[in-house]
Amino acid sequence: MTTLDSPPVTQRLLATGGPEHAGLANHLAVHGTLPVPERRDRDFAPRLVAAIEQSGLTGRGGGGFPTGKKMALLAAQRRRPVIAVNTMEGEPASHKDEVLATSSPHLVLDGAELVARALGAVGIKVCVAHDRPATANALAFAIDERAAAGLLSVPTEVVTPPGRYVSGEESALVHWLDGGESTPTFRVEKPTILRVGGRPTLVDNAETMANIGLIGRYGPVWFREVGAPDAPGTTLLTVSGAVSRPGIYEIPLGTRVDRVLTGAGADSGIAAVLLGGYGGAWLGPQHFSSPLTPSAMATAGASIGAGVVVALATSSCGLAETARIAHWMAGESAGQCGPCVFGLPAIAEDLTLLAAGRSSHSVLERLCHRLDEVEGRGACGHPDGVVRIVRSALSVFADDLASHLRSGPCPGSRAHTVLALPGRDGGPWR
Amino acid sequence: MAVTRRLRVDPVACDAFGHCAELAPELIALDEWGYPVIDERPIPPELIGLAEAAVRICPRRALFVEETATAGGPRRGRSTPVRVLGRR
Amino acid sequence: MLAASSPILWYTTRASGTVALVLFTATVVLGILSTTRVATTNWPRFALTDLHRRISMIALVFLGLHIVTTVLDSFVSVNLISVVVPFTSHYKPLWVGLGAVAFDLLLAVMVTSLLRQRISARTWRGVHWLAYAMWPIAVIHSIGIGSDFRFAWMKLIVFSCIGAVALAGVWRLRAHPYRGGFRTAVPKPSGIPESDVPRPVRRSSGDRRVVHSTPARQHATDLRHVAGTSTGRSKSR
Repeated sequence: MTTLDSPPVTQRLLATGGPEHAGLANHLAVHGTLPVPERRDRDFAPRLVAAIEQSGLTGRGGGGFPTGKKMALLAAQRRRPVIAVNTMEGEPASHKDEVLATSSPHLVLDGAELVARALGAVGIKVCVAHDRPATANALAFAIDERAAAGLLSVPTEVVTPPGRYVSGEESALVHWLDGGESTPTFRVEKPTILRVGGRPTLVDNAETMANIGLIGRYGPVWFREVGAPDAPGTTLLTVSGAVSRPGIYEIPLGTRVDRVLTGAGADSGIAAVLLGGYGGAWLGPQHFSSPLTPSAMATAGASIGAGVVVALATSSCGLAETARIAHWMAGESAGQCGPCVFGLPAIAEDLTLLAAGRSSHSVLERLCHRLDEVEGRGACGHPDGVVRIVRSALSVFADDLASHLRSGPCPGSRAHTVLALPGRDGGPWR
Repeated sequence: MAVTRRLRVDPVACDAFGHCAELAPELIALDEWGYPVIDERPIPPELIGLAEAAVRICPRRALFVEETATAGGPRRGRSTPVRVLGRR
Repeated sequence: MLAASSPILWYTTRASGTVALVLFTATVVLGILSTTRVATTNWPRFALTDLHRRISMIALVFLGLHIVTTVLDSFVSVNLISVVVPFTSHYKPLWVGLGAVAFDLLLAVMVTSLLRQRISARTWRGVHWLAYAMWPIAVIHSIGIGSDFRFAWMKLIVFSCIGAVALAGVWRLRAHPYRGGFRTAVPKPSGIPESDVPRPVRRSSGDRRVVHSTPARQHATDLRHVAGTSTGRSKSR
C-alpha cells in the first residue's frame, strides 16, 4: 500500500495504516466512534440514503452504480433485507479489496453496520472468496472484536463462496447465498431486486461500504471535498505491470492517468494501460492525460471498473496479452449460456491467430462478426466484458494488428506476460 | 399508451434446440453454434401469432414475449414493463 | 354404475390398450429424438416436438377409452379406485396394478405439461423424466395382463415397441453422449479439431451436483506454440 505525492487528506480509506494497525482500538483512535442511530430513530434511513445520494458515491466494485439509488431501492422494500458485502474480488489483477479488508476491516464493517441499521436488515454476510483466507481471517477477526465490544446490531458473519471470476457478480453471489451455485442468474429486467431466502438483498462492494462508513461519520460535504465534481471521493487502484512500484494506491477521482503511472514508477515506455479489469478496456497513450472519472473514461472508450491499472510496456504485445486474457476469461465462463460457452473460446482462438501473425483478413472479419454476435447474449456481463476488451485491443493496437497481418508476429508476443492468470481448472461452483 | 412487444430468450434456459428459428425465421436466426439471435425490434403485429407459437414450442421454455408500456410517448423515454407473456 | 358384460367392451379395452401402447411408444421415441436435434427437410425439429405433444394427447384418449371400458366391463372386476390406486383390483391385481402405476405416472407427466407455463422449469423437467418409468411399466402391464400377448401379432407389436425405444435410446446415447450434465448437441465450429470443442456445462436450475470438470488446461502464456489450432484454451468441459 503506497501513496502518491499528495496531501494526507486523500488517505481516507487506508488512513489507519497497514494490517498491523487494523485493530479496533486503532480504528477508533483514528476515525472516532461510529455515530449510530437510536433504536427508534425512524429518520435515520432517509437521512442516510439522502447523505449517500448527496455524496455522489458510486459502486466501487466495477459497476459504478449510484450507491444512494441502490439503497433507496432496497429501503422501499417491505421485507427486512439482507446486507451482502462483496469482498470477492474475482479480478486477478485487483487486490484492493484484499488490502482494504486487511488494513481497514473496521471501516468496511462500519459501512455495513450503518446500512444494516438504516434498512432494518436481518443480517450481514461478508462474502470473501474461498481462496482468500487472509482476507477472510482479517474480517472474521474484526467481527469478533466488534462483537466483544458490543458494536454489532445484527448477526454478522464471513461467508466464503467459491473464488471463480463470475462468483463475485451480484446475481451469482446472491444465487450462492440463497443456497445455489455461484453462477449468475438471468434477470428479465435490470435493476431487479435479488433475494436471499425471499428477503431483498443489498450487495455492495467492500470499498463502497468503507466509503459509506466514512460518509456516515464526516458527511457528504466532506466526501465531496476531494475528487471531481462528477466523480467525488477517492478510489483504490491496483497498479501492476510495467511499473517499478506496483501496489494499491488511493487516489482522488479525477487524477490523471499519467500521474498514476508516474506515481507508480512507470517509465516512459508505456504502450497502453489496461483499465478496469479483464473485462475492461485498453487505454491508448493519447488518453493518458485524461482524468480518471467515469465520463472522461467513457469518452476514451474505457471505464475505471474495479480500479485495475495494468501498464503495458512497448516491448510487450498488446494483442498477445489480450489473447491471453480472452482465453482465461473463456475458461471462467459459468457454462450456462451458449454464446458465452462457445463464443468466448472462438473469439480467443481468432485473437490468438491474429496475435501470432498466422492469420488473414478473413480471421479478422470473423472475429469482428463474432464479437457482434456474442455481445449482449449472455445472462450476465461476462461475455460483454470480453467483447469490450477485445474490441478495445483491436482499436488501440490497430497498428500492431496491421503489421501482424502483413508480416507475422512481433517480438513482443514472446515477452513475458504481465498478467496474473490464475489456474482455476476444475474449481467448484458451490 | 403504446405497448411494445419484444421477443426475448433466457440464455441460461436455452439449450439450442433450434425449434424457434425453424418456426419463426422472420424473427429468429441461429448463430454458428445453434443458439438463437433474436430480432430486438418490436414484433410486428402480423407476426405476434408466430412469436407466441415459437414461445410455446420451445422445449426449455426459454423464449418469452416481453411487453413494455411506454407511457407518454417518445418524450419520456422510460418504459415500465407491464406484463411478461410466456414466463412464470 | 353401469356395468355390462359384453364382448364389445372386452375387445375395445384390449384394442384401445394396444393402440395406446403403440402411441405412447411413438411419444417416447419422439421425445428421445427431440433431444438429439434430429431433423429432416420435411420434418423440422419443431414439427417433431409438436408431434410428440399431439400424439401423447391422442394416446391419452385411447388410454381413457381403455380404462373406461375396463371399469364398465363386469367381466373383469376393476373399479375406479383400482385405476389410480395400484394393486387394489380383484382381477389380476399385480398386472392391473402396474397399469395403475403407469397411469399415475402419466397423470403427473400430463398435468405438469399442461400447466407448464405455471410451474418452474425444474419441476416440469423432473416430473417429465417419470415418462421413462411410465413407459416400461406400461409395457410390462401389457405383457403381464396376458389378454393378447399369447398371440404372435401382439408379441410382434410389443417387441417392435420395445425395439423402437431401445434403438432411439441407444442412438441418442451413442451419437450424443450425456455425461452427467453435459450436452453435446451443438455442431463444432469448422477448422477446430473435435477434441478442442468446448462442451456446454448444462446446469439446469434443479441440478445441484457439481457436474463439470475441466481436464488439465494448458495456459496460453506462451504463444510461440501456436500451431494453427487452439492454444491452451479449455477443452471439453
